[in-house]
Amino acid sequence: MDLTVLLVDDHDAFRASAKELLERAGYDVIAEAATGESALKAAEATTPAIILLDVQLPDINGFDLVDDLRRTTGARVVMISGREPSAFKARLSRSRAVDFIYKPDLSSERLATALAR
Amino acid sequence: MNLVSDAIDPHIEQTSVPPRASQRRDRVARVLWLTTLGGWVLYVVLLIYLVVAFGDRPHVQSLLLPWFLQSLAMGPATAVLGYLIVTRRTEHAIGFILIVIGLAHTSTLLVDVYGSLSWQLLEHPLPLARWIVWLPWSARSPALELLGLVFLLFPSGRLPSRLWLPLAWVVIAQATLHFLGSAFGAYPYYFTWGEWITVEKVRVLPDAVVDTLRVLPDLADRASRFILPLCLLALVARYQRATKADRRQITWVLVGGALFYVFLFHTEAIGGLLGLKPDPPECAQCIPWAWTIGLCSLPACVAVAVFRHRLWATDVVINKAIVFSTLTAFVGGTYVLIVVVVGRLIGNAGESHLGLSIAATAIVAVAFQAVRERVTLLANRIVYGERATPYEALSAFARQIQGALSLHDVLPRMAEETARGLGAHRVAVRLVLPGGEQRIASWPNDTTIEADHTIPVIYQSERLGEIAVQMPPGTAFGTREMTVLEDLAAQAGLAMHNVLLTEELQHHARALETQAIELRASRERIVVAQDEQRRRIERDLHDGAQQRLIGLGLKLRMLEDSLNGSSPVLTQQAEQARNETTKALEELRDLARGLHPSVLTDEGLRSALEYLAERSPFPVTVVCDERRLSKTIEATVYFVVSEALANVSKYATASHVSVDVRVSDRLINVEVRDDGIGGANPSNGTGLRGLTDRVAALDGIFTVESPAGRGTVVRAEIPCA
Repeated sequence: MDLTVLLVDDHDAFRASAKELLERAGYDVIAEAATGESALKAAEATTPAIILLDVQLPDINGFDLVDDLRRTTGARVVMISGREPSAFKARLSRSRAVDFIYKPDLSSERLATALAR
Repeated sequence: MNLVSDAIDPHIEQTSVPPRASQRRDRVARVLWLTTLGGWVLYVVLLIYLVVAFGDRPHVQSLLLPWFLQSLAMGPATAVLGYLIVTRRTEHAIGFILIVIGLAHTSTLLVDVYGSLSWQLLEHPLPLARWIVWLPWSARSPALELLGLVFLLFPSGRLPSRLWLPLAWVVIAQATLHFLGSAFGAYPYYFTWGEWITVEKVRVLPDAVVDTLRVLPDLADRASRFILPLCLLALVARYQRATKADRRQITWVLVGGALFYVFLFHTEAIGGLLGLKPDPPECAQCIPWAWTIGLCSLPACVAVAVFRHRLWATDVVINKAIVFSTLTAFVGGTYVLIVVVVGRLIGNAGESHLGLSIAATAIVAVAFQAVRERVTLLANRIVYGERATPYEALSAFARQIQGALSLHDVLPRMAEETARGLGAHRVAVRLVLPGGEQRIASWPNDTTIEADHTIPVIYQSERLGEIAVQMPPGTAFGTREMTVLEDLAAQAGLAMHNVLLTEELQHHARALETQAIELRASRERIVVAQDEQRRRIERDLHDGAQQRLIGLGLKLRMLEDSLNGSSPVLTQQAEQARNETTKALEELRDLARGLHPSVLTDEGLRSALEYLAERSPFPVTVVCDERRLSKTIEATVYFVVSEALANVSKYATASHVSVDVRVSDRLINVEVRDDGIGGANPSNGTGLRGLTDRVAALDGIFTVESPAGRGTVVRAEIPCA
């Protein structure tokens, strides 16, 4: 099973913590990005199997990036945000992202559940 | 007699005369001129008698017409002219001088006929002939010499300056001495009707005195040749500094005075020049027609100066005289026509016919009002021409400016109505605004004006502006025009004052409106700034503390994983720490959401309201347009609904709440309705008051209806155009 991960978030501290957490759980964080533009480039360069994508990026809304990332890599995209999921309920229902994880709830189990959907 | 030197613009200035003194003068003047008129009528009757009884005697036929004309001009015409002046300017010396001249001249003519009848035409002298003739006959020449005073005083009633005062006293002294010399000196009477004779007059003084006094009339006659031209020089001097209107008047009097002087004092020369014959031929200076021309020309010219150029506002009197005389003629004429003419035609001549008298009375009664109106119109037309009457001018002026309160309306109307009232060629009205700025309106529009006269417009001692008038070429700006203009200016003062008040009010209203607009904009800017600040703080919390807490939570989770049950105590502590972190995160999230919900920014109003609905502990139905609005309006609507739902949650014990947000082109209607207990008081609590201010800052209306037991409806109407 391909567990390569592209981690897209504009907060360095969160990316560091999340990377450590995921790698401990056996995921391979092969690339990181802080903006939408750099995320597309990294995805094209590394073609990860999983993309953790923050909703609020400095240059674009994460939901608007989902289709492009999927088209480029075919990866499963999991939305993440420090804001509650109910805030994105409508967008999430229309999105091709597999799931949404509230950042404080991020764990290997929660990610596995999301990827299993 | 007023011999004080006048001001620069003399006949505009009006000396105030106490009302009682004015009435006394008027009464005296009326008695004098009526006496003159009565004497002249008697004189005319005597002339007719002379023609009928002594038409075949020398001079009677030849002197009839010139003497009649002289009597008319220097008698009633001069006296009436004087009386008209007295009625308009009671204090005016010229009026009384003219009346005295007219009375004296008429008296002289009467005694002339009386003396002729006594000593020439009848076989025996009439009773008391010498005594009756004595004083009136002596007053003839002195009275004419008083005309010098008229020249000195015309048209103001005052001397041109104090320099002329000695000359005025010389004229008075000359006339007095002339009268004394004629009356008490050895000066014979000359009678011309029938034949040319002299009659020795009454002697009441000793011979020595009489012989001394007899030189006075000759001296006075000789002095007149110099004194009268000097008096005319006063008119020339006055002409130099007179206004255009005054010059026209002065010119007429100068011409009349010059003719008077030439024909009366150089009779022989001018008679020879014009081919006029002396009568009787042996008296080279006795040229009746020359005297007639001289005597008629002066009152005629003065009359032209007074009437044509409306000196001393005599037009009102003339107007009334025309109306009354025409109505009298109408009544009398109608009666004569019907009773006499018709009576004669139907054969009742000489007999009283009651039916015709009644018919005449009825016709007069029925037609009187209509005739009066037409005659009044005719008189107005004759006297005022194209101008309005003073009353019409004032009433039209008042009517026109009554409804006008703005500068743009009032000033042009004032100019137009002033022009109409005065028959002016051009009129300009100037108003000085409080800041010194000026507004000028002219009639006709946008014309420049060469003012004949300018009058200040004053209200309660404050000069507000002025009215400038230019009369048509050849038309005088006389006292009548001055009076009308003064009355119009008085009304204009009140109107201008009202306009200034209105302008001031409008200025304040505009300032208040500007302030209100600025205040609304300011409040809106404050709300926008507050929202922006809330958004920024929420973002800072999200990007800062919230992310750190999230990171901390993840690390604690990894710590738990690392311990992997090796140390239950540490594992438990790590779990507790992570739970505390989660709680802190939730509190921080609630705080951020209260400041500004990110979902509103990211997803719009509908999502934000649905988010609120989801978090509510009771069912909430949300109907909301998906259209995006301005950030400020969206935030305001969001907080209205959020506060309303919070209140429902706290107080209403409702089972259902509906949120309805409808957006039209110009307005957003927000309604939050619950089925709770009602009875909410909007004035309690800072939340609703804050919302009221917030909605008002956007020019919106915020209301709360909360009848007890019937739920609560919170409404907000916010303009969104």
